[in-house]
Amino acid sequence: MVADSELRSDKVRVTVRDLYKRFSQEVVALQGINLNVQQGEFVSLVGPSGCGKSTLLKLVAGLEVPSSGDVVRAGIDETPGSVGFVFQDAHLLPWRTVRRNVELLLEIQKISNEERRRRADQAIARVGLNGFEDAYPRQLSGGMKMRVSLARTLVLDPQLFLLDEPFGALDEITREKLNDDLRELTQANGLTTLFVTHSVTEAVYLSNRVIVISERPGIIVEEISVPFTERHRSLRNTPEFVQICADVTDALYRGMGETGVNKQ
Amino acid sequence: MKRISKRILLPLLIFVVAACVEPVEDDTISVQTDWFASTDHAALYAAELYGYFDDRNLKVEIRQGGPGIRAANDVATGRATFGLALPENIILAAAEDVELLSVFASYQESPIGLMVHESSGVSGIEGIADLSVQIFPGQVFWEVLKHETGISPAEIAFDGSMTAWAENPDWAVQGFATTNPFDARNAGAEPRMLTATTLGFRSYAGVIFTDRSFARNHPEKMTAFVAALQQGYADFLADPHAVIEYINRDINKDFLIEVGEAAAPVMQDLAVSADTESLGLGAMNPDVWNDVAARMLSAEIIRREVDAATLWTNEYLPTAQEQATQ
Amino acid sequence: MKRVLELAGPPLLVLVIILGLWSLAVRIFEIPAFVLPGPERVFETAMFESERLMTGFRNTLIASTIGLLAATIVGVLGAVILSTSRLLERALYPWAVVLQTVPVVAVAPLFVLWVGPGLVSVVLVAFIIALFPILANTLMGLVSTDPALIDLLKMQGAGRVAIFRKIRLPNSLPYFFTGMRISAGLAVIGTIVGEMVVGRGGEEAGLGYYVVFSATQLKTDFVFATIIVSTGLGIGFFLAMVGLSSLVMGRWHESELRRDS
Repeated sequence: MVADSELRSDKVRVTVRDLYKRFSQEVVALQGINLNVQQGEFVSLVGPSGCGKSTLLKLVAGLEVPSSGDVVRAGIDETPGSVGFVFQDAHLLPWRTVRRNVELLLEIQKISNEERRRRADQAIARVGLNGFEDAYPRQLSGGMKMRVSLARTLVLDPQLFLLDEPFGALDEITREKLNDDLRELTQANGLTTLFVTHSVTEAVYLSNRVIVISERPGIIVEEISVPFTERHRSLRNTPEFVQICADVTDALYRGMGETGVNKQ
Repeated sequence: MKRISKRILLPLLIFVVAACVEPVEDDTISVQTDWFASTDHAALYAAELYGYFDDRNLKVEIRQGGPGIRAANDVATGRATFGLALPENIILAAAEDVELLSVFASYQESPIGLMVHESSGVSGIEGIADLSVQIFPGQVFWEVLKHETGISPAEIAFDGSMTAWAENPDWAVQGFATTNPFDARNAGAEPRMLTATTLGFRSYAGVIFTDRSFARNHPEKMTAFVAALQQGYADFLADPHAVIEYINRDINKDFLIEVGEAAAPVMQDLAVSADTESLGLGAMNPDVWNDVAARMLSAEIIRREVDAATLWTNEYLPTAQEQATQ
Repeated sequence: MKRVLELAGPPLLVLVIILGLWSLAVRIFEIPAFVLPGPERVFETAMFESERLMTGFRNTLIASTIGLLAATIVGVLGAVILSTSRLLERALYPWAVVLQTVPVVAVAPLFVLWVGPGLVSVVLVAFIIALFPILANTLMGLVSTDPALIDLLKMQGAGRVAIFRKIRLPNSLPYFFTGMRISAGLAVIGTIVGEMVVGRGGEEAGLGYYVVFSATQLKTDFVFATIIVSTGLGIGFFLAMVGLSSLVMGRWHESELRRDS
């Protein structure tokens, strides 16, 4: 069963076909990747360090170019703001307030100052930071800065949402809170999301589908569906959840050339 | 390997340290002049060349000066036994409670002054007012003249080079009547030298002085030293060429023979006066000293009165010595 | 007010102690005034020569300001230009280094020949000495931009100019101010050095001129007074930069945060 978002039959689709990416003679990041992401899906990419999952995300984003094969983004008008990217670190502009940071990417578009401010304040509220519009980044905690980073991207109302290990630097509690917030944000609008993470539990918790990538040169080891429709904190402790995590972990080990826990 | 190098290292270290520490030679007399060696220091170099110091068992080391060297300071701090400078410097030192004693004046009339371009038509201090003057900041004769005449022409810092002046016909530059006109002509300019005396300020130059306590403690050395100076200077004035060649060949090859040859007649003129006629070369006159001191005081170059009489003496001149023994 | 006391108190106390020790040392060791004048003597001389010192201060202030301004403009523009192209940077940056290392004191008399003595030459000396830190630091700031931020803007279709205005330029501010802090003092030093070698006297005399003037007249106390005024001017310039930096970056940069004492 697929998650609860409304599937606007294939409205947005990302198709990756036979993708190869090499950086040099010796370094082949990705090998023969085939991947499909449907409208409204939340897909996670997990794999060991250096396996190319971030590279894959950047290829989908258009920040990198394939060595061979292609990335097809259907249903996305290629206007600015249609693809939102969130980095590992918040990368806020320290000389701007929260509001001005959120407004940053809107400034490139031709909208009025009032409209821009309105949308920014709205996004700030959505990530739970109202009251902090005039604060400066140095006054914020790590979790708050990440929320600003999310708001900055959300304010664009993107059709495709790409996140590269955004919560890696945060503590457990903040991370779980942000997981819930992110899930809510993406599901509320049927936002197609591609999410890269190290954390198996996080991937399983957030996604409809978890894609496991092997160590370099990266290939897809396995795609594991996540059947849960609801999310709540205690979900992480249920045996079904733990089993899925074990399956994912197993696939991870296989991708690193070691024998799995559950399978041979 | 380690043992060997230790044995070499220690003596080497001692050697280096010993070499760095200047040997204490009690009886060497050092003389610090105020500029690079030239005929302005002829009395010293002549005495050295002709062995007049050796004759009197004096070990004399003549040190060249240059930009930034202030002979009065060096004598005052004990770095040099004698110095060569202007009376104005001696008076300035006296105002700072430094007790110096001048014993020989090479120039009866200072050749220092301002050099202008012939084309400027300037012949006196009034004309200077219309020019730009390139001079060592604080030069006493200039400060006195400015104060007394009230002129205040544009002034430019001077670093010792004639080049800029040569390019600017409306400039006047500080110079010595002995050597600089030659340099100027070499640079393609037609100079006119206006000595301080012409401009209204009479003083000595090439004044050789020492610390007063040294003079008190070594009267024989003083007499010998001054006698050697006078003898050398007399020989130089009679026949400059050998000394000029000596300076150029062995002391300062940047001091050209032609420059020395051009300077010599000027020196022959400026080295003598009524005082030298009666008392011998190097003799000094109280009027000159008192006048300079008084004018420096009223120009506020020194802040309190200085008794110039204590700053100089003729007593070490041979003639004075003769009179003393009579 | 309390903050001023907090900031100024400790160094002032040190100053008072230094003055006290200095005065004592001169007395105890009976150091002659022409070698090391005591602080009272220096003060007395400063009062006596106050007219000259004020003229010098005024002229040096003017020349330093112009020199620093020129260095800032050229330094920032140069950094911007060099930041646009690695080729340009590789071609021109070494020459900036050459400019930095040329012994300006030796070259200064040439300025007199080319542009005449006085303000222009003096400013030129100050400019040359003050230029490099601004250029080098600002350039560093412009090229040290977070590549993730640039990616972020590029993805949204921002052009080079927008990226420059929004990211590179503001990002370079802390670096720029580091350069300014260094160059402010250098501009004063450069001016004084210039004045010593190519300066004018009289009404246009700067502090550098009076350094030589006082040395020529063997007046150590006047030399000291001049040096102290010069140092004060240098400190003033530096503090001005600190204040400016605080004004511009005070709200957002870590360097402006108060450290716990």
